[in-house]
Amino acid sequence: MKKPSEEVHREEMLQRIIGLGERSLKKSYYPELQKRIRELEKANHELQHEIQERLKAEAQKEKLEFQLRQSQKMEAIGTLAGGIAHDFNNILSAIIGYTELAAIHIEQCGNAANCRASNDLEGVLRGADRAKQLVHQILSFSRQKGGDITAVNLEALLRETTRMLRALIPTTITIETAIHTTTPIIMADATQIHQVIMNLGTNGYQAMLAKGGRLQFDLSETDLPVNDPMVTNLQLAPGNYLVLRISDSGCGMNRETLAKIFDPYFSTKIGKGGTGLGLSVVHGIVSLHKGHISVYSEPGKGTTFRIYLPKAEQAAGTALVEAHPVLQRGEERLLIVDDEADLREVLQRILENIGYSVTVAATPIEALARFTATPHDFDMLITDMNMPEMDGAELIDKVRALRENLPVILCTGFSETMNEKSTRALGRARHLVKPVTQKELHETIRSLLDS
Amino acid sequence: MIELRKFVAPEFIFGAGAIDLAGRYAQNFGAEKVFIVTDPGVIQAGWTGKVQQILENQGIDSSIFSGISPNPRAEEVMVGAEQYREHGCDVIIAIGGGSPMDCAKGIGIVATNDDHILTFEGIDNVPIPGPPLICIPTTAGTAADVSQFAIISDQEEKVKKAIISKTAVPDVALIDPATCLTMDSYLTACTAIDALVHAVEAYASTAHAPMFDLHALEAIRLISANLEKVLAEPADLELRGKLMLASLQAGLAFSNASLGAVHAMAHSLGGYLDLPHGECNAILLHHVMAYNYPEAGERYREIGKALGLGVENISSKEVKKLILAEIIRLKLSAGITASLGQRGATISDIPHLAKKAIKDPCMVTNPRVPILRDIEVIYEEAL
Ligand SMILES: Nc1ncnc2c1ncn2[C@@H]1O[C@H](COP(=O)(O)OP(=O)(O)OP(=O)(O)O)[C@@H](O)[C@H]1O
Ligand SMILES: [Fe+2]
Ligand SMILES: [Mg+2]
Repeated sequence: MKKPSEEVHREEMLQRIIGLGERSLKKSYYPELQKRIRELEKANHELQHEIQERLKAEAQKEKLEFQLRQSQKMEAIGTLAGGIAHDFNNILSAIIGYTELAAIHIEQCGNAANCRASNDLEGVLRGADRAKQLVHQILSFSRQKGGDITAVNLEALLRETTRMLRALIPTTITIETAIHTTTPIIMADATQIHQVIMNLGTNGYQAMLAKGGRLQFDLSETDLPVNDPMVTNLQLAPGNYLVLRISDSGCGMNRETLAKIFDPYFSTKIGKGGTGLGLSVVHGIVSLHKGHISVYSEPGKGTTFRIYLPKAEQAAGTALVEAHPVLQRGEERLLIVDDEADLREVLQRILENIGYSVTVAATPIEALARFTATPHDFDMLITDMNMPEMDGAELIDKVRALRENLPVILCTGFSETMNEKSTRALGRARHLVKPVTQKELHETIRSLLDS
Repeated sequence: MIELRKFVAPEFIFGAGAIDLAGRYAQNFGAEKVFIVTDPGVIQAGWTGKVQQILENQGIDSSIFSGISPNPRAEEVMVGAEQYREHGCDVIIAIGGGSPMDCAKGIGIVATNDDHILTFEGIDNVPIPGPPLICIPTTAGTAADVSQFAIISDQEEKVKKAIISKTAVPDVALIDPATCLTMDSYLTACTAIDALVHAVEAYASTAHAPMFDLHALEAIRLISANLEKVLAEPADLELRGKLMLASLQAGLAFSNASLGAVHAMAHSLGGYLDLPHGECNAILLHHVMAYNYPEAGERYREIGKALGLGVENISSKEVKKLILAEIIRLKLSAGITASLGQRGATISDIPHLAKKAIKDPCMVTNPRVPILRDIEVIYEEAL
C-alpha cells in the first residue's frame, strides 16, 4: 500500500524534472557576468573599507565624548570640592586651634597623669594635619595643579597609614604588613599616596564587613627591563619599581564589576555611603606618579590590588615624624581681625599663651577704628582675607596709610587673588593659608618681627 | 501532445575535428587560464596534451587536474575546486569519459557556490552556474557532455549521488568521434550499453515527451545496429561516429526525460562496489525491464522495433520474451558476461543497496513504482 503523501512527493519531483518554472541562467553571458561580479566585488571591498573607517571614526568620537564628559565631571567635582574645602578649612582651623590650646593647658597643669591625654592630643593634631593637607589637595585638584613632590619613604608612610586604619577598622579584621625592600623611597606627593592606601584599605575593609578576614599589605621591589611585558604593554618606563600589594579576603568581584571599578561614580555601595570616586581618584594618583595599578579578584575569595611606583633615583631619607617643636615666646602687641568668632578666639588664646598681648576685632571697621585711635600701640596686624564690608587687603592699605611698614599677616582660606608672592610684594607681609597652626603662626610672626 | 515541455541542450559540435575548436571556444568565453579536468588514462592516450597544445596555440594558459578516480569522489571535487581557485582559472575544459566530466561539473558548482559538493545533491539545488564549461567526451556513452546530470561518489555513505540541475549542462560540447579510437573493446562495450540504457530508460520514463522519444529510439537503433560492428572493427572512424551519435542522441533524451530504476540501482551499486557504471547497467537492465514490463509494455514494444525485432502482431508476453532475449544477447556478445555475484556482491549487501537505490532521484521517473522489497528482489535476481 502506497501512502498518498508519497504519491504527492513523487508528483512534485516529477514536475521538477520536467522543469517548468525553474530558474535557468544563460551561461553564455558569462564573460559579462564575470566582469559584473568583479565590479561588484570591488564595490563590496570599498564598502567594507568605508564601514571600517566609519566604525573607527565612531569609536574615536565615543572616546572623545567620554573624555569630555569625564573632564566635565571632574570640573563639577572640582567646583563642588572647592566650596566644601573652603568651609571645611574654617572648621579645621578651630579644631587645630582648640587642640593646641588644650595641649598647652595640659602642659601648664604639669600633671604626669595627664601625659596620656597630651599624647592623644598629638594624635588629634596629626590627624588634623592630614586633613589640612587633604583640603589643600582638593583645592589644588580643583585648580588642576600638580601636588607637592618630595622624596617619600613609602615604608614609613605605609606604617603610619596602617596605624590609622587599625584605629578605624574592627578587630575581626587583622592587618598584616610585610616589607621586602630596604630602599622604599619614591618621589611622590605623600598626601596623595596616603590617600591611595587609605582608599584601598577602606575598600578591603568594606569587602570584609560581613565575615572579617585579613587585610595584607606587602611592599617589595622589582626591576622592569626594557622588554618586560609590563613595559611594552602598559607603557611603563623601564626601571626599578616599588610594588605595593594590598589584599583582602573579602567578598571579591565578578567580571562585570571588575570592568567598571575605576569608573568615576561606579559603586556597589550607593545608598550605603559609597560615592564611587575612591578608585577613580586612586587611579588618577597612580597615573600621575607614572605608576600602574592592576587588580585581581575572585568572587567569594578576595581581591588584590597591585600598585607599581617608580623608585626614586637616589635614596633620600626623609623624616616623616617631625621633632617636637620648642616654641620661643614672644611679647609683641598684635591686632587680630577675623569675622569668625571661633577662629578669633582660638588665635587670641594661642598667641596669648606664648606671651603675645593680643587685641581682637570682629570686623575690619572695628579694627581700623582701634588702630586709628592708637596706631603705635600695635606691632603687627593679623587679618583674615575674606570679610564682609572690607577685605583684608583693603584693610592693610588703610592701616599702612597710618603706619607705613607695619608688619602684617594675611590669612586666607580659599583665595586666588592673594598668594604668597603677591603678599610679599607688600613688603613686611606674609601670607598664611588657613587653618594655621600655632607653630606656623609663631614662626611667621618671628620671621617678620626679627628681620 | 499539447503538454507544455522544455528541451534543454547545450550548444554542441559533432564530428571529426571538433576537438580542434577548443581554443576558439575558450577564447569566446574570455579565458585567460583554463582548468583542464581529465584523468590518467586520457593523458596516456594523448588527448589532454593535444587540448593543452591547442590552447597554447591560442595563447591561453592552462593548468591540469587529473586526480580523479573512475567514479569521481566528493573529496576529489573539493580538491579540484580549491586548485581551480588557487590557480586563478576562469574557464573549465573537461576531457575524458563520464568521470572527468562529472568531476568538472562539480568543480564549477563548488567554485561559484562555495559549499560542499554534496549539499547540491538532488534536483535543481544549485543556485549559481559555474564558470564556462567545455566538455570533450572521449567515450561514447555517458553523454555527460550534454546532460544536466553530475554523478558524484559519496565515500562516507558509499553511494553515488546525482546532482541534477540546468547549471550542470555544459556551455559547449565538442563531440569528436576520433577520440573514441583509443578506447579498448571492454570500455567500448560498457559505454555503449550505458548509452542503450539511457535511451531505454528515457523512452520508458514517466517524464517522456515526443521530442525526446525521437532521440531515444534513434539511439537504440544506432546501438543495436553498430555495437557488434565497432567491436569487430575498432579502428573504423565511420563506425565509431555512429556510436558517438547514439550516445549524443541518448544523452539528449535522458537529460530531458530523466532515467529510471536501472540507473537508480546502478548508482547505489557503483558507489558500494566501485564498479564501472556501464557494467552495472548491463547487469541490471534486463532484470529491471522484466520488472517494469507490466507498466511499460506498449513503450517496450516500440523499443523492440528499434532493436529490429519483429514485434508487430504478437502478444505482449512474447514481445517481452523477445526483447529480454535480445538485450541479453547484445550484452553477452559485447563481452559483458559477469553477474552481480561474480563482481563481488553478496545477498547481505542487498538491503543496503536497495535502501539507497529507492531514494535515488532517477527512481522518480521509473514507469513502475517499486516498494523496497521489489528492489531487493531485482538485485537478488541479478546476483
Ligand atoms: N577590595 C574590594 N573587594 C570587593 N569589591 C571592591 C573592592 N574594591 C573595590 N570594590 C568594588 O569597586 C567599587 C568601586 O570602588 P570605589 O572605591 O571607587 O567606590 P566605593 O568604595 O563604592 O565608594 P567610595 O570609595 O566613595 O566610598 C566598589 O563599590 C566595589 O563594588
Ligand atoms: Fe548512465
Ligand atoms: Mg571606596
